[in-house]
Amino acid sequence: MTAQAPETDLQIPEPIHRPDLQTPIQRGAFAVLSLLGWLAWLYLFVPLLTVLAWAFGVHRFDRYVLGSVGVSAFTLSVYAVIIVAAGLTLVLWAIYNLLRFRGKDRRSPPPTVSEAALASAVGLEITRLRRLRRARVAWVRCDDLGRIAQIEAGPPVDRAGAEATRDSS
Amino acid sequence: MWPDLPRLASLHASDVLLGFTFYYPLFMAWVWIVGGLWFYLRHERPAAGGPARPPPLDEAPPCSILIPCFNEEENLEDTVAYALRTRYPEFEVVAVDDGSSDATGPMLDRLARTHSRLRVIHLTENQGKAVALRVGAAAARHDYLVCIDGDAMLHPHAVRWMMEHLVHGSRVGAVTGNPRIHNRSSLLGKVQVGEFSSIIGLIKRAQRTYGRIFTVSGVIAAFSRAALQRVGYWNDDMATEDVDVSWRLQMDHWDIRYEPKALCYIYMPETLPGLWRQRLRWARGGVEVLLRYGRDLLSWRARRFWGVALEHLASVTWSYAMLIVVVLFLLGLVVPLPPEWRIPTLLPTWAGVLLGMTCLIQFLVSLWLDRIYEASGFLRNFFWVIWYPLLYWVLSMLTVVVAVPGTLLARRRTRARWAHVDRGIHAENPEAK
Repeated sequence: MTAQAPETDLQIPEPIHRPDLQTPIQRGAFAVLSLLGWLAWLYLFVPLLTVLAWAFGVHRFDRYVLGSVGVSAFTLSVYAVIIVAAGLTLVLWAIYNLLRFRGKDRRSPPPTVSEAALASAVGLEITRLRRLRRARVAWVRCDDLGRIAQIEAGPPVDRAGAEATRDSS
Repeated sequence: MWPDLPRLASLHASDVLLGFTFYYPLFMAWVWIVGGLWFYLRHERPAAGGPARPPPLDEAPPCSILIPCFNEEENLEDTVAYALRTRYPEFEVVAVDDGSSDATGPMLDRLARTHSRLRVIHLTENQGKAVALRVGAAAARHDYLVCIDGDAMLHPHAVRWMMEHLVHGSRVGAVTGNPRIHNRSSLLGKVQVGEFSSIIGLIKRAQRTYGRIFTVSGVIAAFSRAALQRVGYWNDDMATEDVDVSWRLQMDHWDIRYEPKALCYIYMPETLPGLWRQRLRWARGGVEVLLRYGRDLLSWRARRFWGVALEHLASVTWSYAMLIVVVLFLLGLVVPLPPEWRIPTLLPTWAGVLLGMTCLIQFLVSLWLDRIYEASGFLRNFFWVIWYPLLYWVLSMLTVVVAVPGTLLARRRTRARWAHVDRGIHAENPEAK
C-alpha cells in the first residue's frame, strides 16, 4: 500500500499489508477457506446457471457424458497408454544417452579460432581486423551484402587518447 | 479395452482430424512434463543453491558480452549497467549500435568514456540484428561470446553459469539462458510471465532431456567462437536469426545446453498488435528453417535432430488442422455437411476434462520447477496463467497459418531488419495513461 500522499498532505496512517509475516500454513489455510467460501457462494447460483445453460441448448450432458461412459473409458485408457508409452520412451532414451556418453567425450576441445581464420570469415585483411578489435570506439560501414566495407577506428583500448585512424577500402 | 479393428476401420477422416487437433497438444504436454521433471532431477536439483550461488570457478577464460542495439535509448543505460556489473574475472562489453536514429549512439559514447570495459561499434547505417552480431563478433577480442538484446538486464552471475557449460563441454557450441519477464502490468504481461516462467522453460528442459533444442533464446545466449566460425556465424536473411543459428549448430553436431540458472530480465509486448507482430516473426522463422534445412535433415547424419524437427513440423500441421476444424464447425452451423465432416458439438466430454486437467497439471509442474527463479510465488502465476492455453493456441494457429504462405511467397532472400518492438506499458508512455 504505497499510495502517494494527496496534495493536501493530510497525515493519514497507511494500512498494514504484510501477508509475508504469516506462516505459510496460516496463509495457505486462509486461502483454502476463502476458496471454499467462493465455492459455497457459487453453489447458490447453480439454478441460475442451469437456466442459462438450458437457454443455450446445453441440456444434453447426459448424452455426451453419461451416455458415453463406455466409449469414454475406452478412449481414456488408450490415451493413458499413449501418454505412458511416450513419457517412458523419452526417459529410456535419456537413460540410454546418459549411459552411452557418460564420461566419454571423444571430441577434443575445439582449436582456438586464429585471427587469420576470423579475418577470412568476415572478409577483412588481418591488419584491419586487428584495428577493429583494438578500438575502444569504432565506426563501421557495411556494403549491401552486410559485409564490413570501411572501418574508422577511435583510440585503441590500450592507448586511450590516441588520434582516430581512418581506414577504408 | 484395446482397439478392435472394425472400430478403427469405421473411423472417418474428421475423426482423425479431430483426434490430431485435440490430442497432439495433450500428448506433447505429457512428454514435456515427463522430460521437464527428468531434467530437473538430473541437472537442477542436485546443484545446491539458486542462481545467486554459482559453483566455484576452476577455469575462467575471458569472454565478450555482445549487445546489438537499435533505437534503445530508453533501456540501454540499464542494459549496459547490468552487463558491466557481471561477476566474472575477465570480460568486455561490446555494444553495437546498428545505425540508430535516436540517442543510442551518443549515449553509448558517453558510457564508454566512463566505463573502461565498454567498447562501442557504430554501424553507419541500419543493417539488421544478424549483421550487428557478426560485426560485434569480429570486433570482440575473446573466444566466448555472450549475446544479449539491447533491452535485457543480465543477472550478475548469468555469464558464469553459461561459461560453466562452454568451458567444460568440448561439444558445447552454445548455451541458452532463462529470460524472465520484467513488465507484467496487464493481463497479457501476466499471461506471458506464466508462459516464459513455465511453458517455454518446461519445453526447453524436455528438449534437453531429448538431447536437442529447437532454439536458443536470442535475448540471452552464449556461444563458443569455434562453433560459430564453423557454421559461418549468423545469417542475415532469416526472420529469426536465433532459430537459424541453433539449427545450423546442431546439424553440425554441436550441443546446445539450457541453463535455467542463467537469468536475464526482459521486456515483452503488452498489447495485442505488439504480441501479434512478435509471434508472427517467430512463426516465420520456424517455417523458414523447415524450408531451408528440410532436405539436409533427411540425411542419416542429422538423425539426432529429427525429433525436434518432426515435433516442429507436427506443430505447423496442427495449426492448419485446427483451422479446418474451426471452419468446419462454423460451416456446419449454416450449411448441412456430410456426417463424416460434421463437428457435432463443442460441449466438453470426459476428454475435455482430461485436456483441462492436463493443462492445469502442466502449469503446476512447470511453475513449481520454476519457483526458485520467481519472487512472486508460483500460485500467484498459476492464477493468471489460465488464459494462456487459449491465447497460445489461437495465436500460434493464426501466426503459422499466415506465416506459411507469407514465407513461401517471399520470392528471394531479403535482409531481416529490426522489427518495431513493443516493450510493454510504461509510466512515462503517455498512451498508457
